[in-house]
Amino acid sequence: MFDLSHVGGERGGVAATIDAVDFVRYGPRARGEPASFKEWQHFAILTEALDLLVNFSLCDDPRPGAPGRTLPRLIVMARDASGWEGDVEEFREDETYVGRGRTDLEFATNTLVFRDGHFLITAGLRDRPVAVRLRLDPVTMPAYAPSVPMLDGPPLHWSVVPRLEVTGVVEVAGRRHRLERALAYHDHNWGRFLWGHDVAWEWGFVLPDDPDVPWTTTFVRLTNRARTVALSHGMLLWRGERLARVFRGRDLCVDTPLAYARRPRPFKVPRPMALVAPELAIDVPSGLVTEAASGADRLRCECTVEDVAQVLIPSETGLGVTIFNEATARTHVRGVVDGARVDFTGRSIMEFIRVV
Amino acid sequence: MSSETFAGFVHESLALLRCEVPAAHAAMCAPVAGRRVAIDADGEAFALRFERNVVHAAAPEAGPELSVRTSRRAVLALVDARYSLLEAVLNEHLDVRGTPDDVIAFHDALVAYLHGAVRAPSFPGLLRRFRAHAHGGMP
Repeated sequence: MFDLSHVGGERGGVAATIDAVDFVRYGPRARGEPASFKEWQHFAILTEALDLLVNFSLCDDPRPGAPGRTLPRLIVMARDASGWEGDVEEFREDETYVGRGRTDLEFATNTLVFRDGHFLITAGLRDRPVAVRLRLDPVTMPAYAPSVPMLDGPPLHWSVVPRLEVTGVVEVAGRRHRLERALAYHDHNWGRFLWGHDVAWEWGFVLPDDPDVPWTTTFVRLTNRARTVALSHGMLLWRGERLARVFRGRDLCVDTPLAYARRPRPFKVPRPMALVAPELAIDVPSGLVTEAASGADRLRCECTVEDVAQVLIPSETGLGVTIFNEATARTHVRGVVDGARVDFTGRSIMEFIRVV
Repeated sequence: MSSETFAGFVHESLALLRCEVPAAHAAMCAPVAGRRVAIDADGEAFALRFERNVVHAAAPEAGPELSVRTSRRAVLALVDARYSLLEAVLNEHLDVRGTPDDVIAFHDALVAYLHGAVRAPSFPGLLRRFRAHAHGGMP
């Protein structure tokens, strides 16, 4: 994990650092290189009335007969008082623009751009009644975790801006949600692997209920598919703008209750994939407790799952399915870091990858 | 064969599956190899005869091991996840008849077909045409 406080150079500040770190990597494939590159920009917004996930991804399309080299996908999922709505939509290369070396993506009429210190997102699903117009103002410095080890290939790279303030409008099936400086999370991943490789992850973040709370945290555990070997394990804590503490590896211990999250009928997208992954049981624990201790610092993050939705992607190594379980949770974080007491409640989204 | 009929849609999809996702096509054929399946969709009757890696059109009246009755509307409801395969059977939107072994083999073949369907690059376009036809020409 890199300290990025110097990366923005003389301009300094959060925006300049994001400009320098968080940009699109997708580019030409070297001769003979396998079609395995993946990159995605993920945004999560948590409010009392609305949870929202927006994900722009660019992946090599390894399928024989695929219409192009790249498979651009947009995921938009919203959860409000009426439940979940959303979908996964795919786009042709000829309706896609990729501004490499910066954040500038157009998938048909859907756009993601980082400009003048703001992320700007405009997205509207073609076949489902969800549309968003958002401006996200980063609050924290990004963290950058390059070269996260993978078992079946080259490493994965991750940058994260765990706290942003979002202003805009989200429309879900005729219901209009106005956001005014609501809290949001953003990360960006890229690497070379196939869905179906020997990898799984459990990952999440906590945004405080009270926006005056200066703390923001994220945690991630990358494992083999059987979840018997942890390839990488970390927990990061920001205080205000700055990354205050990083716990790694043996600093961390994870526990779960002996119960699964239960949903009578989990929301699954894209909908046709529910035919090949129809299971009602969800391999997601009802909670997750991450405890970190190093020197005099300690931190305990206790998440209790509220709801789960599933993004289902066909495995690329066989006729299986890679399941992204998106679990919303209530969370309590407490501990002591650099002599300061940490104690706040918040909302989380955790992601549990499973393969069936 | 035209995809204006349900049978045309099925045959076109099977040809695409064999070409674009041969592993799924083979996995579909294996459990039902040697069996005939009679299909009735909205009153349109046709039949398929499965071999190890080939599917042939067959005469519907030739004494099938399995018979399936459904509708375009039910197929689209399944694709749109308005109900599951199990719910479709329990609610009689999908009727499958045969011995237990035949029905289990058909289920395995159908799931393999679906795994291919979600991977085949040409299937989204085929589905759009099927949906438009089912809605009377309107997408």
